[in-house]
Amino acid sequence: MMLITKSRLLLTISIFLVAAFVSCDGLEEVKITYTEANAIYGDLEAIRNTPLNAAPRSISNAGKIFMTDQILLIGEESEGIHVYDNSDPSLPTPILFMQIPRNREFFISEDFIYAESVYDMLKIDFSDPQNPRINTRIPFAFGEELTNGQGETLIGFNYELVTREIDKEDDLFNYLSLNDNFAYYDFSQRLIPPSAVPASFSGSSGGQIGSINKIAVQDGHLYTVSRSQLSVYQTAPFTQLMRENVGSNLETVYPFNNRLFIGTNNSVEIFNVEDPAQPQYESSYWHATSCDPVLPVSEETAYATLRTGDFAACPGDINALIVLGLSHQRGDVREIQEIPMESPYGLTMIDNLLYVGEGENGLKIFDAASEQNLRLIKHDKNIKAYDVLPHPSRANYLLVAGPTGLVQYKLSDDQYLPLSTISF
Amino acid sequence: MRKNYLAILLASLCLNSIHAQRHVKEADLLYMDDGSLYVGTILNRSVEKNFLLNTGDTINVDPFEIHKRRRLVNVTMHRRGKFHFRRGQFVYIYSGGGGDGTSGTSMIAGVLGNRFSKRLSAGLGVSLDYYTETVAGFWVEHAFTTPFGYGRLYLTDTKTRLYFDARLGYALQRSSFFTEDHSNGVNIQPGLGIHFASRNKVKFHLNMAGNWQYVTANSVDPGFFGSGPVELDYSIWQSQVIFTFGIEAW
Repeated sequence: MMLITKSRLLLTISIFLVAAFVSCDGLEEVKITYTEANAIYGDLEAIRNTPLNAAPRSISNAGKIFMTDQILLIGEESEGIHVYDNSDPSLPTPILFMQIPRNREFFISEDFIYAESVYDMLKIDFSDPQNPRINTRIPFAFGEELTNGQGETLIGFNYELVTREIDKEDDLFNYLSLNDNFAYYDFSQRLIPPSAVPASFSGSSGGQIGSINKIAVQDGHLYTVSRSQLSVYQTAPFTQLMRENVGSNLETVYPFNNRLFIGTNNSVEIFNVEDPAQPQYESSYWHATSCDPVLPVSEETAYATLRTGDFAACPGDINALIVLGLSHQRGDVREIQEIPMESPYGLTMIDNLLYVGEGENGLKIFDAASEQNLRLIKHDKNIKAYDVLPHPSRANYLLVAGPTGLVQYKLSDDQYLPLSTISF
Repeated sequence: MRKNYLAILLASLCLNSIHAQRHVKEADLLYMDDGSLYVGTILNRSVEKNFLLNTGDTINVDPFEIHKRRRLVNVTMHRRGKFHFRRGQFVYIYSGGGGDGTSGTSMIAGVLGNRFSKRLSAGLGVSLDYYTETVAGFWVEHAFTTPFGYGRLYLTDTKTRLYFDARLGYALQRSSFFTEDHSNGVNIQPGLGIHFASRNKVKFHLNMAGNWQYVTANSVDPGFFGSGPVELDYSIWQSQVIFTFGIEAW
């Protein structure tokens, strides 16, 4: 009896100790970091009636870049496109600013600029760079307008990275995914979202297509990707042919011969576009979650960069250059080579050389003579590059979009000499 | 071999005569072919056919009717020949878990210990633990390999013994594809259990415990419904009532 009494005493003391220990709330802490999106409402008609051409202005938040023989176009994120006379690459001169509200992505094909503006898709006649004009507007190409209780039209979101302390029991997941976020979800899935790369090349009149595009043109057809939808347009007459959900977290689109390569944050999706108006799913290559521009270089080979570390856009922990082998047989995509990288962004092929922008970590050049066996031949840490593109007509000129701006280089004695810089 | 079994002095007489627990420092158990059991002490190993037993007294046992013999040291005998060890080393393996709609705990553990007295046992163990938890509505998972110290205090001395036990360990994080990026942390597991007597060296346990695991972690949800990534940094006590089933041997 004595034995049990002592034991019970010990048991009681132990339970009290544990309870006191566990009730120390000060030991618990939960912090959450997320991108808070605050809705922007506006007058859609006023937006549509915004005059296209305006006086040149300085670049503050560069986006897409397109190069022709004489003209340089630099996107101003969410506001429009700067037009420069680049006939002398050492002295690019601003011509005008095209006001395209909420525009992020554009592509040029045969003297026409194809650009998105909130819910609409625009075809802009650019045959006279001094006086571009809207040729065709396809209203609500990305979906019907969303309005709030006051009848105001949702035209976009402001994003802010927020970190705050919360209670472990707060059901923030449901708050973020349900409640009042349907409009955000709907809007963000259908409309073209911000790019994960600060500044990158859309393409050039030399036939080059950027590897980080959400809009691309091939064989008289225009392809756009939003987060979940693939849209197909006929360029002449400019009409929308289809708009379909084809996945989630779509990031880039790249047409190549009879295929359309769509990079998502965890896969490369390949569509057959033998009928360019009706893309047919062909195969997928799955990879770790990351930002992944895709650059097909032949019927047998494509390159993709996987980049993480930028929390808001590219969470994860992998940075690599992947060589993918493509088979003519449906469904066969295999990884052939994985090369560790530091922070790979855009990539481009110039002759037999593969250029990969490493952002603040420089520019890497690979020998791709054997396209499925890449070999690093140069790592220039002085050229900070998000994306690289050859000049459309000057073989020894290289354009680099980097953290400090757009730099045009001239290759001389195996050295890249900067000719001009447009800062942004 | 049977010829080696000779006479047995019955310390507690036969099985049916045992009505309550009693401490036996040394005992021989004779399991007979007819299912009966004798508990006592072998007096004589030289007689070939008859065994001299003592029941106060001494009885004879036919060696050819003995099915199995077991020698026990320091046990508490109960009815039907079931017993608990009072001293000696033991191996204790247990597994179980618990959960509700928002969290879950599962584990398998092994302890190598020693019975220091009939009331107190202690040892060292290692456990593989897996946790799921909901933090701010986000589903997170953690895995650990936990070395721990273990103690057990018996509250009763009956055939089915009630005890209080506890483990205190330092959980070492294990990474897998499913788990978050998490740290090592303290693990505490006080519990109440019952220990069933048996007629052999293998005995069963049922236990109900509270399990507390401290974890610091970073979890990034890559984005749901297009909202973009959400990062959680948290330090929490992951607590759960768990139920375990255990086997103890030796």
